[in-house]
Amino acid sequence: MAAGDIFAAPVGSNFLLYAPLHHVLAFVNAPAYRQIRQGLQGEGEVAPTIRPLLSQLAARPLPPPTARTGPLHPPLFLGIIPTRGCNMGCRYCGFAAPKQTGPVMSLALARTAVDAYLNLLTASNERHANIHFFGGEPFFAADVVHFVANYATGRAAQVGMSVHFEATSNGLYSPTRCQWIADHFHTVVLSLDGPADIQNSQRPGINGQPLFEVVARNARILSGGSAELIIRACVTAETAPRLPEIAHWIAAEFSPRAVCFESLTPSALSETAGFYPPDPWQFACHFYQAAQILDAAGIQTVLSTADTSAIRHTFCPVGQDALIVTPDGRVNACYLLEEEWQRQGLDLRLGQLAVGADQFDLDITAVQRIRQIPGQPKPRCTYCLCRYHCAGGCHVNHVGGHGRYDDLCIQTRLVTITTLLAQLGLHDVITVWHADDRLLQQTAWQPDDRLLMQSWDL
Amino acid sequence: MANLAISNVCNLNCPYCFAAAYMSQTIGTARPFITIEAFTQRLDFLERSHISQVRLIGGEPTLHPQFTTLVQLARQRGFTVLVFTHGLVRARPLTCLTTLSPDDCMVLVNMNATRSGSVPDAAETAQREAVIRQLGSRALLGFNIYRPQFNLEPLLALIQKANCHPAIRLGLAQPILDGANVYLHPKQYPAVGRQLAQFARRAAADGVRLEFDCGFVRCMFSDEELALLQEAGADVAWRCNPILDISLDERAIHCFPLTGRVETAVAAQDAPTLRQQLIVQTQVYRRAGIYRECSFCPHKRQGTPPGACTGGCLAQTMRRFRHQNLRFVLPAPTVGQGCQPALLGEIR
Amino acid sequence: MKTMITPNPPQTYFCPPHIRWAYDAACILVVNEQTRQAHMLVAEEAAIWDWLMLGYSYAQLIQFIAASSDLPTVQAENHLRQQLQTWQESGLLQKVAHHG
Ligand code: SF4
Ligand code: SF4
Ligand code: SF4
Ligand code: SF4
Repeated sequence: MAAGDIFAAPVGSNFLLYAPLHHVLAFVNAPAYRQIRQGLQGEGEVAPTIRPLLSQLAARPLPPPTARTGPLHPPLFLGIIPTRGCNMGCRYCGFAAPKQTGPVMSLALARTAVDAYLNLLTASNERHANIHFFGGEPFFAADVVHFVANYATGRAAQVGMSVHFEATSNGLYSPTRCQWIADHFHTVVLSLDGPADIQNSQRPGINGQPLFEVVARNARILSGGSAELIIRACVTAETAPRLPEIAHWIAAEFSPRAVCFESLTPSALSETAGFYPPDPWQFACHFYQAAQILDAAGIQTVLSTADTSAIRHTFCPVGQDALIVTPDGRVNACYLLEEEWQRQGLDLRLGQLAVGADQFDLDITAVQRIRQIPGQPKPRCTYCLCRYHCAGGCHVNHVGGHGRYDDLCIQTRLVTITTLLAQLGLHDVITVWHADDRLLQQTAWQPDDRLLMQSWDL
Repeated sequence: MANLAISNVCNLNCPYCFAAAYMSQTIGTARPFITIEAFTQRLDFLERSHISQVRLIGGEPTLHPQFTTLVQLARQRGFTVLVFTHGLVRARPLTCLTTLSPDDCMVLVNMNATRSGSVPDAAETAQREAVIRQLGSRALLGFNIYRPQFNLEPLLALIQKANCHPAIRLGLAQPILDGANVYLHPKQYPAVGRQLAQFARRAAADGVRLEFDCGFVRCMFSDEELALLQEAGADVAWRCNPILDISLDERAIHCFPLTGRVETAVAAQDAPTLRQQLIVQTQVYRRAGIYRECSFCPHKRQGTPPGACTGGCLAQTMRRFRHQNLRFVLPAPTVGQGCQPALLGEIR
Repeated sequence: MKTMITPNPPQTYFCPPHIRWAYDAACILVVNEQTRQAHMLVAEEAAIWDWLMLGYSYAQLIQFIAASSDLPTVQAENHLRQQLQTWQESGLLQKVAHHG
């Protein structure tokens, strides 16, 4: 039996059994673990209580997620980058300097992008369009967003389609403009790292001025508007121990649908500014405490690489035919600056878009090639229980590591296992496990999570 | 139906209080309690409106120094009595209520009323429970949902212990239109819907029925959740129907959240006429709903209940409306555009 | 006969306080609290209303209209003037009275 997709992670003297393709999540003791292993190999006696679980594991699994194939599917979304410029001076932000300037997408190009995208959807009988705005800061070129939102709504209505608008934003605008966003957008991912001292030190204005009050006010406006608010907090070594405090603060002040805690992506800039990624062990424990607090307020807590809600082949838009249009008309699979992927030897360019064209000029070989990128699993991912949701993480920023787990892996693995245990209601188990470094290490460093390949001496 | 405000003061401080706007408007501008004379006029009003139940609201109605007299007056004229209270009722009004027959008196106790501005503390809960035990089957437990996460289990236990009316009256905290109370945002409704559907099943097992106040909407429940609720015998409805609130200063208000925005003078009119006036005032807003999708929603298009959804709370809907103090300068037309040929002729 | 002709002065529009609107899924619903009438703005009309209320200038509005309907500027300008006229006639906008 090829049971390479049944994973088991040791948690103290017990095991978390996780087989997403079999819809199995269970917490078992050592004898049960042993019986299941033997049972899967057709050996030994199996207790009646274990038989249902075993038969579920023995049943044919869901097919593993695979790369898209064939002609361009309806794209995941249309990404619009109105500008690479930004009106904030985040001290860890790796976007190319000088941040506050940069070309702005012309209205004609924005219109062309919407037309070409809707044409693609119409051809495949899609009824729903998805338009995401990225930056720099997209609202730094607000007129492009204001134009696209209205133009796309009108055009889509003509062909009986609805449009979902999403933006990733820094929250720096007037209350009137913010209200407009709250009224028009369906989802807003707002970068807000924490209470005033954290936000002002990590995300000040271009001249270093504190901007917390503006962003917090706008978070409140978004919280009370139609848009779903998602708060994205960048976590550093310094702020990781404060995650529970940040969670309390968010729950009291805003009612976001979810809070994403993402650890800092280190860069030369962030290091110069004295910001470092959090210790992954600490991060995982504090993340859990924060999640408990947010959960009590009905708010979801997310670490994107540890989000087990869907089985996926790729962590991100790359490989899913998302079409992200830059201000100068390039069409990319990733919203980062080209220099960043090139530094990793990646080419994520899909094609281009000429003003007035009725379709994207896509290089189909590039589309096929990029679809395959997530399908080339990094050696360390092959046997990791996170492979069907983390899927290797960011293709640009989570690379290297020579086949061994790195800090991001440890963090992802620990948060994943904690979240799964919490789903089973095993909060006492989590408390004991988190309190013991040795146990955490034992779980996190397990090199091969496949149940049948393990050699725990029970 | 009509609610009579007899007190515009309250000694608690609930975060979601939707009477806050009403109270701050009337405090200082009038006596904080209704006079016997005005109360008698209210009873006249109910009579000419063919309404047989006196619904006493506040602020906190039991704080009225002549609460017992008011209740007796209502009873003498044959009205049944419904009191909306925070439940921390003092001895005298409590005795007044417990001497009435449960057939003539119902006390709707708000189970999550509190001094603290957040959740009731242990002392408040204990005091409220003692009151409820004394009220027995006169007590109907109410709960205001103002956060997507809440716990109704203790209410089930209390209903058994205190032998209360076997139902729970659920309210969604709605926003005061021009105010700042804590309320449940429609974005959070589906999360609430999920929990209620699960809870309805447990409540039904205990013989307790869920009753829904105004403002619930169809789409906060999936079809399966709705089936669960119906199976559990819950009294589900998707309505925004004003039960007139008659203020101390004799205004008929659509409901507390719309204080100051949708109201009319009571004068010599009856309740159906007043309600009609208020509905006409709000008709134009009722084309929309709490969500962007409401105006195109098949549940809304269905027209009248049962089954149809009114599109949720009007106060929530009206909050979605914007106004802009716009001043827009249109330059003089240049020759060749925007000008009538006749004008061009004259200019030359 | 010789008459003194002065060119039309610039015109200022304002949005009276009894006009309120909400963004619905595929339209803008404008209500007139005075007349209790509702107006449903769709497609380009909705777009222009939104841009106008966002505070864009005359020149910027023309740019938006030209880009969205693929019209030359002159036509976009005419279109905008007609639209403002329509809204004024239906009471959604009013002209500021000029004195002197
Ligand atoms: S090895 Fe690391 S990158 Fe790969 S799936 Fe596991 S956690 Fe993710
Ligand atoms: S490759 Fe990395 S940066 Fe690019 S879209 Fe994917 S996750 Fe985002
Ligand atoms: S009318 Fe609105 S609130 Fe009611 S079911 Fe439809 S979308 Fe939901
Ligand atoms: S507006 Fe309607 S739903 Fe809202 S509180 Fe008033 S009566 Fe209830």
